[in-house]
Amino acid sequence: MSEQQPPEPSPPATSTDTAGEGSTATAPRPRGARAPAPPREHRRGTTVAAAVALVVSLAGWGWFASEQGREAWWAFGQNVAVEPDGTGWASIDTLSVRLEAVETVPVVDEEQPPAGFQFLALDFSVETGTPTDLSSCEVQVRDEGGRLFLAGEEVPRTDPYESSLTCGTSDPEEEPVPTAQSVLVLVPVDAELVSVRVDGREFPPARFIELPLPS
Amino acid sequence: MRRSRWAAAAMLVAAIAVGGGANAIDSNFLATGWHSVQHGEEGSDSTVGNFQVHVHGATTATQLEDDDVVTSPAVFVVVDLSYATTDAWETPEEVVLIDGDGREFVEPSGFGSDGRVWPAGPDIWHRGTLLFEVPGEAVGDLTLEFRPETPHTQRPASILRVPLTVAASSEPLVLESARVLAEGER
Repeated sequence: MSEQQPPEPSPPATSTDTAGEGSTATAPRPRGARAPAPPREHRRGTTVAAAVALVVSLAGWGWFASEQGREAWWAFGQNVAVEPDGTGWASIDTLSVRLEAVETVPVVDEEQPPAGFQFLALDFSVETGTPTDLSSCEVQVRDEGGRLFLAGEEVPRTDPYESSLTCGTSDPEEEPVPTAQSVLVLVPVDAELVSVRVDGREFPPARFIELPLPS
Repeated sequence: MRRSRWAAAAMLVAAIAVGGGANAIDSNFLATGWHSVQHGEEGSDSTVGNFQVHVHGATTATQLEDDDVVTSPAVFVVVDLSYATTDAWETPEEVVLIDGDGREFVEPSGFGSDGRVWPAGPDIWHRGTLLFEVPGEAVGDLTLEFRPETPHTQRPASILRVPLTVAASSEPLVLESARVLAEGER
């Protein structure tokens, strides 16, 4: 019975023969010997490439997975404020609005607000261009804390106040948009009010009008 | 085994575990609405989503004053509660009652508009009543579940559960329209 001998250790392989015989042949690697390790720079490059591919693929999947949320957030949220120009007019599409007056009203149609609240009357000038699908726009008053108080909620329904702005018409001849309009808003007495927002379902995605309130 | 092979094997196991976990979450939560449950109690303010809720109590009787006196084959339950939002005017998606067996009771149809959820404003509290009709044996173990919004398949939501103490009344129950409360009232 013959005994199996381990392979003879071989000298490290080199790319050139330095034995002095002028030969450039590489010595054959014995069976079982490990392949030479790649250069350190090569290994580092592979690691970096794998990490970058992982991050890019995760980002890509995250982008696709969140598509619905991103689009809904952008389209239905109030994200792009259109502010008034030097003359006080703010415009979106065919609608132009200017805030003419802001006043607290203690009693409206013999009705007082609940304790701790007040009625705020807002007067607007409204101009519209060509016939449009725009119909009504909601008005909100924003306070310093970001709370939005909606016009027409829990306020007396009486002339000249409307619950929302008429901000367009499909028949300007027969049903023109009133150029002067007013709304009432119920706000806490201690709220620090900063702006008035006008928003319409037919506005371009994410856009709304924001009119600063005098401090 | 070389260290790099161990690392590759570990990454493979981690990838399979993450995939399995995501699949389990999708099957158990996302398909029916992903929500977390908050617990409140009668007589105190609770916040869920963008709503602030205060449950005053509940009353039960077999009869209801709804223009005429209506008699139920089961029992009516009227819940007295107040709520406001934290940010803007909004109406909660739904308020339901759940009994000890997990059965869910929604607002019954066919009655007046009083007794249904109403819109509320930011820190503008409204107080009103909600109407339900439940089997008599369920009255002893009822929980109110307040749902600020529809559970979304891709977005987490919260619901509030408040155990109810239900008082019995021999008189027909009366529904109250929601009204704005003075500042500080509930």
